[in-house]
Amino acid sequence: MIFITIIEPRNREIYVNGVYDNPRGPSPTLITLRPGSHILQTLTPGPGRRLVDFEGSVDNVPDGESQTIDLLPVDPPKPKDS
Amino acid sequence: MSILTRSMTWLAALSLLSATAGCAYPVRNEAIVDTSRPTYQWSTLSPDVLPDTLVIVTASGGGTRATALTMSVLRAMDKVRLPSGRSLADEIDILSSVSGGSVAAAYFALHGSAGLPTLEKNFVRQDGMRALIAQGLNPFSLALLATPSKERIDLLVDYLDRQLFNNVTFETLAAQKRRPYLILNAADMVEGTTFPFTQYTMTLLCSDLTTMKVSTAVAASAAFPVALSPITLKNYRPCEAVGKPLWLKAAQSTSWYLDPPRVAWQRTASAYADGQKRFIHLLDGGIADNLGVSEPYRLLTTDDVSPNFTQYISDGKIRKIVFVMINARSFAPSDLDNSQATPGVLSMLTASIGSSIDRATFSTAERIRSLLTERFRGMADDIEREANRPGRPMRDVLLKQAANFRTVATNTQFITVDFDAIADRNCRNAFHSIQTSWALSDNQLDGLDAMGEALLAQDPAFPAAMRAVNALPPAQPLKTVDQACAILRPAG
Repeated sequence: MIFITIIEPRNREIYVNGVYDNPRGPSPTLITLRPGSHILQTLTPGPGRRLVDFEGSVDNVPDGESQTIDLLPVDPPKPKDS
Repeated sequence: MSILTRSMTWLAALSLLSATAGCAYPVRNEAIVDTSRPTYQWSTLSPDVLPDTLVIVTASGGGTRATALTMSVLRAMDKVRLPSGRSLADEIDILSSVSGGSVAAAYFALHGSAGLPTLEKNFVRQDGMRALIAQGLNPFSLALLATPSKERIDLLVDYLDRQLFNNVTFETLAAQKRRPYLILNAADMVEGTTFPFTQYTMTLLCSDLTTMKVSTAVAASAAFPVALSPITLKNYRPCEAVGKPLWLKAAQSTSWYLDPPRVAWQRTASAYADGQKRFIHLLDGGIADNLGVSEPYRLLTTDDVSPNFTQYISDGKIRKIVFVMINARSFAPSDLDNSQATPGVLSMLTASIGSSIDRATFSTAERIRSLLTERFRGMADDIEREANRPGRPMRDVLLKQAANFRTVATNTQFITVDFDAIADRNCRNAFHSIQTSWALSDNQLDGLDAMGEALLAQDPAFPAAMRAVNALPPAQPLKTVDQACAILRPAG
């Protein structure tokens, strides 16, 4: 398992690898994941079409390691499946 | 009419049919056009009354033997009543199946326990072999089978629709919005991997599961190699309607050494989503996993797809798991070992298909057993170790996650319904010897109907599972293995 801490942006729900029906957080939060690479995002508030407004990733994190990251703004926000 | 004239007439009819059919192969799946349409997925189904208990049932292949055994287990689960007035069968969250097990699983997902008598009357107690052969030898079918528009697998699709499914599509399951979440599993005959009929798999092909007939997916799951032709799906990628799933991008940059199963699945999934594979040929799911456990395993371990049960466990939303694995594997005695004569082509073919299915069955069974009994405990240990690292921020969060994994590890009941668990050798052999066919005798079916219930009740984990769901004492005692053995023996 790997341990990813997300600090920024604050007080936002975090979505992992495009699974949009099961948010983690709110941030700052700690997420446990399988070893490897993962993409983390936040979405603009609903209702209506929600867009990705912050995004970050971790790359090839080996088993047992931990990382702390901030997600960076996506400007302009992009569709979820782009 | 002379034989020659009759032959010429048939030839002319065949030519005409070929011409009118335009030599078009059947289209089994449609493209995603409207992304606002309801889809069939876990997140759209209403939760049941035991929200912290995940009940998973997997049903193996094995023709009518598997259908009947699965039906027996579902009936027994329906006899287990809960304080809510519902039954344990009503609380099944995931129903994942292969081949013969898929017939029972799909019908149960559509109609619940109320549909089991119809399943028995219209399918289990019917001579499906005779019906399929009669249909296949019908002159009109023969003529159609000579054209690409009709394939041997259509005999099974049509039979399933006539007897049970009446051309319903997955849209009906989506509209019902109730669990169990049905996962019918076929196998990609080129990749040798499981192909689960879920929307997230179909999205890789830019295809809409809700427009597909349930009978088509059941038939793909049961398309025994050689005897039946594959179900072929069209890949609609590249497409505008939906992008590629984001997890593919993350998995593509993952080293194989860190997560081999994820990378392996990503390579197959990318071949679908990149449009490299224009058509996917699907055969009996047993080639890749004859127990139907691969997909529940993925859902219990992945971070890439929904439902993400690992996360539910980590959050404390799932605190108990009841996993019922139905294995209708046969072990028919063979005389090959007692003869020096070189086995014939048919014997070799049957043995090569059968032994690969059995090998896959054994390894997947061990994988799921190890996950449920050891992995969650190991995950709790790993998280606790991290939490106890000096100066670790958010230690409380980690300790809570570790406690949640430990709770599930302690409260997981793994129940196996498997003829191997029959202690009496003669009885075990009798059940193992029930042939893989779409036609069984009434005596065999009566035996299976009792044995599924008996093996469920006999499993050492069954009492703990009953306590986990606060089950009421049964109105009548469940059948015993001895009783089930007594039924089959006279004819077995």
